Amino acid sequence: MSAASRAASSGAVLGIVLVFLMQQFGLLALTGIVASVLYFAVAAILGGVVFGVAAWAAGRRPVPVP
Amino acid sequence: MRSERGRVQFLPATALAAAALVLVGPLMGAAGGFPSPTLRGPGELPLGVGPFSASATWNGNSLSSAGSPATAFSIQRGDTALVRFNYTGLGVTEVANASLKVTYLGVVLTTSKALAHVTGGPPVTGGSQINWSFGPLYNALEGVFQLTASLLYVNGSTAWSESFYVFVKTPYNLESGAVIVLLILTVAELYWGISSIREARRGRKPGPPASSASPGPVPPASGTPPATGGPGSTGSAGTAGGSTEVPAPPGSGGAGGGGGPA
Repeated sequence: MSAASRAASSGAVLGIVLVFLMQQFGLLALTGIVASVLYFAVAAILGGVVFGVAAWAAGRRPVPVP
Repeated sequence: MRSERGRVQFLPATALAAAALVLVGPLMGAAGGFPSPTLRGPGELPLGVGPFSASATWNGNSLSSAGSPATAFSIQRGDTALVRFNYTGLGVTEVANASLKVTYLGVVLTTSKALAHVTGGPPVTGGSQINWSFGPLYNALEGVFQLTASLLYVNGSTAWSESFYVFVKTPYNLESGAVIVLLILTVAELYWGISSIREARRGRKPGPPASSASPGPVPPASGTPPATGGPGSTGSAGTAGGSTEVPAPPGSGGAGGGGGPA
């Protein structure tokens, strides 16, 4: 499992957990099943893409050695 | 320097995700995801004749004052809330029940019901009351929950309903584990995500790829010309590079020596 895929999975889980916590503390109001599923799906995809792309870009860019 | 870059990359990602979630919320709410308080008009009443109006209070406060999660009523462990229903209508005599329904992520968790009674008329007035508490899920789930107060006709149809929000507070002990576990999981996922990004960054470094990967074949020692090995060379330069397990046959060049028979 590459570092980018690990970062993507962490980002997906993080997105789901953040949506759940935001709902719990009143920052989101998920009152319908369809809306809830959409929110969790969008958060998982968004978190996975953001973290995965960040790790992929970090792996592509060489680090300058002093 | 590397760790600072990793943080700089991570912070915009988290901010982008949070901003997108906050922006999507009002759009979905405007699309009908969040029900607003509903008062059925006289033409929609399946039973009764004439205008109908109703209201309810939560410990004396109007339900409309908690119409959003930000203004939710708060309730603590062991507390009960008194929800009073009142209605007025012409000819409305068949309001049978008052109900209080708890929904969570669109799923109904519990429903409390009480009989409604007529107090006078005409116009007919009546009401009901429910002593509500969160129930056994109290310790597991802290947070904001949506409640729907309704007045029901005899046949079960809804005469009036209004949604409001309640913030359930739980003590931070081992019993209220769900939110605490999720907070710990958030920190752990952040750490794992940042670690993966740093690992990806470390995986690509400048320089020859074989020099930092593994101690493989070592270039010949200094002073030995790599391609000028004559017929009499014994490959000592190759074996000096660390490959001492398999001795080179006499007359052949070592692995790193490159000094085979010309």
